[in-house]
Amino acid sequence: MLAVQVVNGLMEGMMLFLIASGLTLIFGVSRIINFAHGSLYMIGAFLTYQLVPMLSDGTLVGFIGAVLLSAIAVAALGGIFEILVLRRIYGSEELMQLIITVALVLIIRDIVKLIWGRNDVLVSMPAELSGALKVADAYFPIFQLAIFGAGLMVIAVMILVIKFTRAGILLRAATDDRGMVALLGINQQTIFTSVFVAGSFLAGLAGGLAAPFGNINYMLDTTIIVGAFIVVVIGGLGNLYGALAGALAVGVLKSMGVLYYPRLSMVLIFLIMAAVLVARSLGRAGVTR
Amino acid sequence: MPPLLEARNISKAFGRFVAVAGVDLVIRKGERRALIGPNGAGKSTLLSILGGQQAGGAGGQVRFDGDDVSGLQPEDLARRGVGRTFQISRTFRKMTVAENMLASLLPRAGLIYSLSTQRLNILREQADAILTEVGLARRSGTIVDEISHGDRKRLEFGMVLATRPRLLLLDEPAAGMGLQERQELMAMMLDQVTRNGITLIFVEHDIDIVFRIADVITVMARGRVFAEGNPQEIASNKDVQDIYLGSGH
Repeated sequence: MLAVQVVNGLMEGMMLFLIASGLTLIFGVSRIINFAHGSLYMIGAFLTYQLVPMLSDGTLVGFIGAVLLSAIAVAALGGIFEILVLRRIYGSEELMQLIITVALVLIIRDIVKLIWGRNDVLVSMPAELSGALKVADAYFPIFQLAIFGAGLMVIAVMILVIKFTRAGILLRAATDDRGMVALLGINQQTIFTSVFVAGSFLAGLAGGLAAPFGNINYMLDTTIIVGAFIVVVIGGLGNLYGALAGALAVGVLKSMGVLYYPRLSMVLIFLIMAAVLVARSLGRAGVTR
Repeated sequence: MPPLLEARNISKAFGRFVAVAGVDLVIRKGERRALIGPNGAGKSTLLSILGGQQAGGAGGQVRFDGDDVSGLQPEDLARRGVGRTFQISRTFRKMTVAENMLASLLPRAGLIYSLSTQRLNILREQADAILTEVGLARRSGTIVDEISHGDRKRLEFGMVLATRPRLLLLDEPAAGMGLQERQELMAMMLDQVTRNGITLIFVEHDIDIVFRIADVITVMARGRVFAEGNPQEIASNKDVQDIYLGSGH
């Protein structure tokens, strides 16, 4: 039971990482705290719901195709948001950024309600990924294991891109000092848009991958963004590896919390976030004796 | 021959404080121009205006190589061949020295989204070559946060060099360094500037360095040009001595 909960937690952590990684990438470069990131995740889930029956309902190929197409569509949508809206608020005070991105959340939510309605919808699990894998006396859901594996693949690709490609080097440079990037003759706007598209792709991918795991509804945006923000705060804003550690820790702790302290599982996560913030501020200020 | 840089009536105020007030500056190709003056004279602000850091916020007109570049952003100016270093050196501090150099070479190389490792390897070789020229080959794999102040200055200079500037704006390139380190750094910079035919405008408080390097010296005080001339003319100018060293000297 314990091992199964850990696997569940790792899967949830991986989903959190995929969405939080986009959030932290975007913040790292543009310094925008994008509250509408959860909306992109939600759109990814709804698009997958829409596309799975069109491609091949209940099959792995149909599911993968739907998830990838959804992620690409969400990435394009993210690019449009960046060009039409967010580009105008770089450098604005945080309150303005907050108001604009929260406004986007509300607008997207209303559009989603118009298109897909207020009721929960479900995505059928691919037949190949249903069932469980028996190891010793424990049964591990294949879908969760597969999602965790897919997450690991995404992480590997991200690390390769960030470490060893020109775009990755520029991404790290812009995260470090975007003003200096401009001094080298690089158009910052291109970097901002690219990063926003990549972050949106990750949000759409996470939404699509997690679609068969639970109910999909118009409130998924705020449900997921809270967890993603907790992960990003624990991992450090703009820190991709910190987000990975934070996401897996939050996923597993939440899962274990449900097992042992069901009423406190969410509180536990906030307590950890508070502890990290206190520890970080103590580290910054230095502890005096 | 038309000047490489022609700045006319450049002005910049921060609230009520006028940092630069109607400055004219004409720089010939290949010239090495020093900007000197007491603290608050407006030297660094003038460099910022010429480098695009005050884009849109300054008055007057700047022409570079015949084109009006007033109000252009730093990236536009960098692409046209205007490079800049800062009093407090700006580098990508969490990346290695080699990666910093690689990032500087990327804009000119283009194809940012290419995954070709062959082209990337060519760029790595170019990065190594520049690191050798600026004396940082041994630091190639070190994270910038872990290298010395002097090495960071060398790296920043190398990074700007990688963008192949035609005009280089150096803001106190040797600030905060010991005598020997400062002399070595300036010798290296001067060698590169000369070999690459780069026009130079630099702000420096070390008068020995100024007189050794500059063809023309512009003395600024209270946001204005107070005097201009070759090192001999400036050295013999009694008013300059007063304003630069203070009336009490």
